[in-house]
Amino acid sequence: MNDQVDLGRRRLLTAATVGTGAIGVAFAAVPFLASWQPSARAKALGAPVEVDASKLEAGQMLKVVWRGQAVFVVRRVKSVIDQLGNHDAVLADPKSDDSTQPDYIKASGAVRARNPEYWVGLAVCTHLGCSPLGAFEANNSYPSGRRRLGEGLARRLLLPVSWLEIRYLRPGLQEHAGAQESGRAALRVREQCANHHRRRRRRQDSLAKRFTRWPQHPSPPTAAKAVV
Amino acid sequence: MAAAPESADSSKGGGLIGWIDQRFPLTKMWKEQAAEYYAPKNFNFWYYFGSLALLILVNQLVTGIFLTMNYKPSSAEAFSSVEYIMRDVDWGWLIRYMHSTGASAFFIVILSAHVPRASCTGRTVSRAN
Repeated sequence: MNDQVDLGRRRLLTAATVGTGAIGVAFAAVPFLASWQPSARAKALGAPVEVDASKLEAGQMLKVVWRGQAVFVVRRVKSVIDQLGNHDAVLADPKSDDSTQPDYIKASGAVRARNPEYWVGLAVCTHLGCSPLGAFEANNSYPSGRRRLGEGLARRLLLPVSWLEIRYLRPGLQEHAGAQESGRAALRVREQCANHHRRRRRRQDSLAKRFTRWPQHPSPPTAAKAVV
Repeated sequence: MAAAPESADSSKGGGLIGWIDQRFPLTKMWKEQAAEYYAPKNFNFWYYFGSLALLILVNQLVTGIFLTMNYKPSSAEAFSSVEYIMRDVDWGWLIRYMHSTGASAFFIVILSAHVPRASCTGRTVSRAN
């Protein structure tokens, strides 16, 4: 046997081994890192909520829950909309520069809505997290979510809203070119959940049929057993 | 003259490795166990299973840690948390299957290959001979 060490060959083999191993580790790491992404359940919990705003009469307010937070949808009457620009003297931030809000809301001025008739806002005050329900119901002439003088840090957050269809308001959807697409994606998630539960029910039913010692679903009382 | 017996070997490296070597024989262990390991010439097929056992051990540890991130170990919640791992967590099904298949592979690799090989060819046998 030749006892001479071929260092070049050894270096090549070492490099090839390390390189192959590194590629393998990179591929193997993908599922583990991806499992840290929000799960399907978390995504469904944060999905947009569909609101049928057509049921709102003028002057009425809908309370909707979105991501565990209350959302107000207000349909303002025309006299209210006309008055919205008249309170600037008593407002702490008339231009709403401090508010967290979508750009198209800021551009709408005192109306603070895409469609002046419908105002959508997160019903959680940023001061102490209270829901300013009383302020809304008692002070119906002022439903624009702007901050009055003396209201301290309180700001009402306005939610991005996209009008996918004329009838539906969807709080939570970002206003961008892909809004339609993300709305459809949310619907797809909901369909997938429904399909999953349907499949699961069907599978459990077929299992229960095949393995009779499994607990059967309680059968509904039949009319035949009733005494006529 | 005042140098400790082992420092002659370990004080050669400086920096972080040298700092570690003064406290733990890292370089010595690496050389003895990996870099300059004296591999017998009569290695055969059955010696693969030792490194396979190590691979599966690492697989079990890593997948097990990732499963605990979503598993709830109570009789009321365990089943639904496994359902959650299998259906809602991205790649959760693969991580769980890697763990369960790895557990079976551990038995095959260790009990039916590595241990028999070691008890036939291990150090105790050669020393006794």
